[in-house]
Amino acid sequence: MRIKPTASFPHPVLAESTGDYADRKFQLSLDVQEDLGAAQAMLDGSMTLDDPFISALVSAGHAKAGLMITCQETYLDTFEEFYPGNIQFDLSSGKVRGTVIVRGVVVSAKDGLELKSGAINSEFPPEARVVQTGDIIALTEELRFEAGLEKLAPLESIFRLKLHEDVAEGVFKIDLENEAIEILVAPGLHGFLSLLRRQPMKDTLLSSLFLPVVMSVLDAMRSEDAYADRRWYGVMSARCNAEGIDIKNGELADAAQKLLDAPLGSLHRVFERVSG
Amino acid sequence: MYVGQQVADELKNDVSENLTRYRAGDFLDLEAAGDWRIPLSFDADLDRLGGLITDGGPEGEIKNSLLVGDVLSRLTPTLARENRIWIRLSHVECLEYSRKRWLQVDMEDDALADAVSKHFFAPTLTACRDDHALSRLWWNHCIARQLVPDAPEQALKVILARADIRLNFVERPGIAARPTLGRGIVRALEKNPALLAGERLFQMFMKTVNLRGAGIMFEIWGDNRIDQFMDACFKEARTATTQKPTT
Repeated sequence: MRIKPTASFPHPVLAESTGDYADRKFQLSLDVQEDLGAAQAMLDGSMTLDDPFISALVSAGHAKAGLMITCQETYLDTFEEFYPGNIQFDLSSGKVRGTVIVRGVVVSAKDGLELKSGAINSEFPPEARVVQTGDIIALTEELRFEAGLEKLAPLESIFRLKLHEDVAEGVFKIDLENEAIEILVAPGLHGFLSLLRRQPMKDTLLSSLFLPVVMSVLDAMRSEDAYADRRWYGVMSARCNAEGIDIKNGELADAAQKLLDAPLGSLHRVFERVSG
Repeated sequence: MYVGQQVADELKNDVSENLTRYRAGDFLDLEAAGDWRIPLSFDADLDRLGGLITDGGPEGEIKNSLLVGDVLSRLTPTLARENRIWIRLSHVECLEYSRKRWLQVDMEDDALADAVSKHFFAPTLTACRDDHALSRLWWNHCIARQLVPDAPEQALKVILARADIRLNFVERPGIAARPTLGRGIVRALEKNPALLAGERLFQMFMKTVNLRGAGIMFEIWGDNRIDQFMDACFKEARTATTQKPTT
C-alpha cells in the first residue's frame, strides 16, 4: 500500500512526518544487492523501533510489523511481516522492474487497541488513542531503489548523431520525436563530429555537445509527458531515478552534470593529457 | 524471441511508412534480414497463439487471456515489461490476430497509424498492461493468477465481464495489485450480480472502496471482515446511485 505524504490520521502515528510521538523513532535502512542476470534483488538491513509501548504490542502479537513493498511497473503491492531488527528479504526472480518502494509499518492487529505510549502528544484525547485491526500505528520514511537493466543503459545508446542538410553549419538542432534523441547537424559538422567521437579528445563533446543537449532533454521531460512512450524517455527516467534526480524540480544544470559525471572535469583531464 | 533495439526503434519510427504492411502485408522480409530473433531463456509453443479469438467479446477475451497466459507461462513480470518481446509477437507470430482485433479495414491513414502505435507497441506501463494486443492478455492472466492462484479463470470471468470493469478495477493498481483486497472485490462481484450489470454502480462501488478503505492494512484482515466491508461499500454505492434528487 502506498500512503500519500499528505495523509493524516485521526489517531497517533509514530512517524517523522506526523511528530505525534515526540522524539521516538521508527526507522528502516536497507541495502539492495541486485543480480541482474537472474533478475533478482536482495534487501538487507534493519528496521528499528524505539518506543517501548509499541515494541511490546508487536511482541505480544497485538500489532504486526513489516514492510510494504510496491513496484507499480510489475503490479506488485504486498505486505511482508518482519519483527523489528535485522531484515533480509529476497525479491525473488522476476518480480520487480523500475522503481521499487519499500516502507516499514506497524499495524494494529486487535480491535479496541489502546495506544498508551508516554511519548504521544498530549493534544490527542483518550478516545483518539484507540485503534482497530488494520489501522497504522507507525511508519518509516519511504525507501526507493531502481531495479533492472534500464538504469545501466549507457546514455550514448539513446543519442543518435544525424546528418541534416537544412541545419546551418556549426550549429546543432535536437529532435525528440523518435525513439532515440536525434542531434541534427549539417554535413561538415557531421563529418567532424563523427571523426572526433573516435579520438581521445572525444570527451570534449561531453561538455560542448551533450551537456546542453541533456539539459534540453530534461527540460522537455519536465514540461510535458508527450514523450513518455519514447525509448529515450524510459532510459532517462530510469537513470534519473537511480541517481536520485528529481526531474520535475531542481536545477537542470546540476542534474545534467550529474548524469554526465561532471563533464567539465573530463574536459580538464583531456587538456592535462594533451599538455603531457 | 525478441527484436533487437535498433529494429524496435525503426519499427516505431517508421509506422507511417509501413502502413501497407500493417493493413494487409507482413514483415517477413525484414524479419529474415535483420536482428529479429534474439532468443529468450525459455521455449514457448507460439503456434498455439494461432487459436486467438478476434471478436473482442468478453468470452473471447477470457479465452485469449488464458491461452496467452498458458503459452507464455514462463514469462515473469520483469520480462513481461520488455517492449521488444511484444513487438516481435505483434509483428510476426500474431500479426494477423493483432490486425483483425485492433485495426479496421476502412481506417484513414492517421487513425491507422495511431491504432498501430497504441496496439502494436508496449513502451510504457499502461501501454503494456492495457493496450498492446498481446501483452494486455498476458497481464490479464497474470493479475487474475495473483488474485486466485488456483483458478485464474474465476477471476478473469468477473474482471473481464465488461470493458469498464477492467478499467475501474485493473487500472486501479492501488486496489487490484493488493491480492487480499483484490480478492475481496472479486468475491463481491461474484456475490452481487448488480455490480456486474451496472456500469455506474460498479464505478461508484470502486470509488467507495477507495474512499472508505484509505489507510487500512487489509492484508491483516480476515476474508470475513473484508466481505463485510465490501457489503457496506456495495450498499453505500447502491444508495448513492439510486437516490433521486430532491426538489
